[in-house]
Amino acid sequence: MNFPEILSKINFLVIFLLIILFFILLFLINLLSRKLRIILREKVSTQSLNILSKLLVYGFILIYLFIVLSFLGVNLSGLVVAGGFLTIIIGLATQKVLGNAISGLFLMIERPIRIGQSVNINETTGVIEEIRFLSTVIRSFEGPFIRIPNETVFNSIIINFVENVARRIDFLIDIRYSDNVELAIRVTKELLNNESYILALPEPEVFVENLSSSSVQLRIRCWAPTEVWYATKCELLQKIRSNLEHNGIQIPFQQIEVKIHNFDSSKF
Amino acid sequence: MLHLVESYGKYPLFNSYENEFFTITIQKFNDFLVYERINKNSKDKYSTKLGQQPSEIIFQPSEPLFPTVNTTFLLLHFEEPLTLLPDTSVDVWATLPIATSVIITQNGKYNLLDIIHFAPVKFALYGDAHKGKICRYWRTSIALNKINPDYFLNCMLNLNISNSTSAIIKLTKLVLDFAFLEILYKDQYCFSSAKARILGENIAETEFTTPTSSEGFSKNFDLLPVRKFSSPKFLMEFGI
Repeated sequence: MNFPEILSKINFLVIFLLIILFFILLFLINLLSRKLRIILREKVSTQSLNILSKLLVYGFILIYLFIVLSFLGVNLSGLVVAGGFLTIIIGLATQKVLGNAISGLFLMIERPIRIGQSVNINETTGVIEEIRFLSTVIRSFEGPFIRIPNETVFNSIIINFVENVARRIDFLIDIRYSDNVELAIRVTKELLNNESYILALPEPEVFVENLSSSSVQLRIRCWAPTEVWYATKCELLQKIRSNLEHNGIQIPFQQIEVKIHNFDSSKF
Repeated sequence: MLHLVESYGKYPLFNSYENEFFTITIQKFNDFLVYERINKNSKDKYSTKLGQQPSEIIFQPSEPLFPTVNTTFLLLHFEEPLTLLPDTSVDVWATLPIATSVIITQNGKYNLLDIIHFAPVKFALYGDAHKGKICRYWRTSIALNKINPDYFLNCMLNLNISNSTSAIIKLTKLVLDFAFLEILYKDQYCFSSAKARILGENIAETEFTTPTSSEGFSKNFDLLPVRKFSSPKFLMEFGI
């Protein structure tokens, strides 16, 4: 179809319909953009939200252009073929980038991590600062900024330290063979029951786990709310030691008894 | 001037307040009024500077909110299980832990100054670690008659428990959302009310209800913002 033919197709009704369609699409873009912002507000950064909004606008402009051209009777098959080729070329050139972007999209849908959570991704531990389209930003506990491509995040084992509301504290404490095991268990249980952050349910457990070569090993298992888990764990270890010592129970040193056969003391 | 705090309520401004649990002083230091509170048992200390001179001070029972653990759930663990026959309902009395909030009034406005915990603080997990809830834990006995509460430590709770199943139920615990807790208080006495509906052998629905007002009783100020669009009901689905 040549240009005069296209011009002859344009009439008042076509222009009117196209304007109406433009406003409908504009309304839909705004609505979708606003909904996306509300849904993703706490999941992704403002920067990523802006990019997503722009992608949405460009997508709608493209759709609108296709509709206008088809209204005017322009044959789109050539354009579709050319677009297909272009997509393959761009796809091959930006394979990694697209992989990261798609992984980023899946991360936002699946949500194994959220901003502010303490995690370990690919042996990197820290707090999630931002989940961008192409990468995830982590602030390690030592301070540095770490950028991990989203494809790596998506394909890695993720340990999320704060996703669950409670975490278990697990200790193995050694006491001497000469110490009273029942007393050690009783005073440790009392200590755990008096600690505010040690959960009453599930009940703390203290039991003999092993009779090792130099000591009796007591297993201590209890739970704490995730937000105070680390501080409680550190404090508890110190309190258990002091409490056992206060009750005359000691944590022994490693002992090795050496016996020499056919020992002739006159040679020394 | 020292003033003895022997009950909840409003007190005029004095230099210091005291009872068996705490000592509070409000004194001028470097041109600033300084509020200082010391817990007698734990030796826990808190102090803050006051921007303006308060006209009155209020000691009131309030929700057992604890600053370091973010939860509004309370797990009441009964000392003995309560057996309920099918399609029956019972009114019992229990206790629940409270915090004491210190509120100052300045130019007709009420400002929260301090939240003090005298009752032992303990937490528990209701459900599993992933989908469960961290709750403030409280062991309580249950009785058919009113239990005398320890003032500044706990509050009386009127519980209406109904078993709407066709089975005999042994109830050992209840989990309630204290974001909807309302307490009425007068002198050394405070109470609240709640109801629980047993829906299955392991499922119950609980909620704090508005206690029936009695003469001379005041309602406590809510420490938590009123959640207009959320339900006070909590579904216990991890066992009762």
